[in-house]
Amino acid sequence: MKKLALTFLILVLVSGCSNPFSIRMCADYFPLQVGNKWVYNVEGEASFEAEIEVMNYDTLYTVAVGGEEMLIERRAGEVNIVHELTTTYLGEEVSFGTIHEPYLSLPFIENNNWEREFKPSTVYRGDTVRKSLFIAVDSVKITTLTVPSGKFNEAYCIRRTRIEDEDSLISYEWYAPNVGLIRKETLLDSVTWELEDFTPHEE
Amino acid sequence: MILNLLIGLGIFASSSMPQGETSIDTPSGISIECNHRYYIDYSFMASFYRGDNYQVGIYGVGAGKEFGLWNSLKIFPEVGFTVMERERSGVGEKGFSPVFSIRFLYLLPSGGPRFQVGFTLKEIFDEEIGIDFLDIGIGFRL
Repeated sequence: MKKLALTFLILVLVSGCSNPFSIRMCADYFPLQVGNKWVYNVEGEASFEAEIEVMNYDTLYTVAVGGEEMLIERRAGEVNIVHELTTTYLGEEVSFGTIHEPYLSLPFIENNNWEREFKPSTVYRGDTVRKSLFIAVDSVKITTLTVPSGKFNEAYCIRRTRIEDEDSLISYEWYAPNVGLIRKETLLDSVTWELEDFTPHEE
Repeated sequence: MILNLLIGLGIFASSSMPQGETSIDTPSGISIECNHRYYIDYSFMASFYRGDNYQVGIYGVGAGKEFGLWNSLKIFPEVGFTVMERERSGVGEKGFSPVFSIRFLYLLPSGGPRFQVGFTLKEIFDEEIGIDFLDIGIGFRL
């Protein structure tokens, strides 16, 4: 009886901890610990290496993307990019203030989709200036993907559509458990980012 | 085995206590544990969590062993097997996952049935929830 119970417990633990659903439940698909660093091979018109590193955290994460800093907000169930929304009007830059642009909805769930729309306006030199920003994520799929840094199971692939005024940009992104972004393709300019190396922060 | 279970029956039913910031993100649930006469413990659990636009349902069974801590104070480490459903905006995934729980029971100094009070702490492995389920309840032991 004792052996039977022990065998049952071991089977539950082994099967439970390693099954695909359990891996997806337990994993962080957008790890933002300070010190995490990703190196990507970027292929397009030109080929180069790009680095992303989480620099610090003070209510927002400061992330350096290829040397350019961006602010990321990580809240329960969502990741937002915090930035100033601007447009060019009569040759000058007009600001609509800071927005929290939705970037990801976490956890990923297969076939999930969402969209957000911003339509701010402001008065500039007596004229009303308008802007529109539309973000949609759909076609969330679970897949296996091999990139230069290795093979990743239980990765989520998403399609992102971002339409800013008249400019639309469609990209496909793959996120791996406890690693984050492993591949990104933008259709407009055929640029591909692939993970070359991921260095997690030191405890 | 089933006959033994019926003979040595003890039941401890518990429900989650509020612990989230608002009522909507409070994990809730119920579990019923049966104490086997050989101090083997079986539980049936159903738990539910709902965030702003994300919800998780957990249904499962567990088994563990009763150990005496001090006089009438008992501890039950338990491992279980759960079917989990998570859903956002009407779209969901379903799978199974392990669950670990630890329960403390105090057996009141009564005759038969012997009443018991206690609580169960369940660790649910969901990166986004980050909340433990703490169930408190009462029961009896024949």
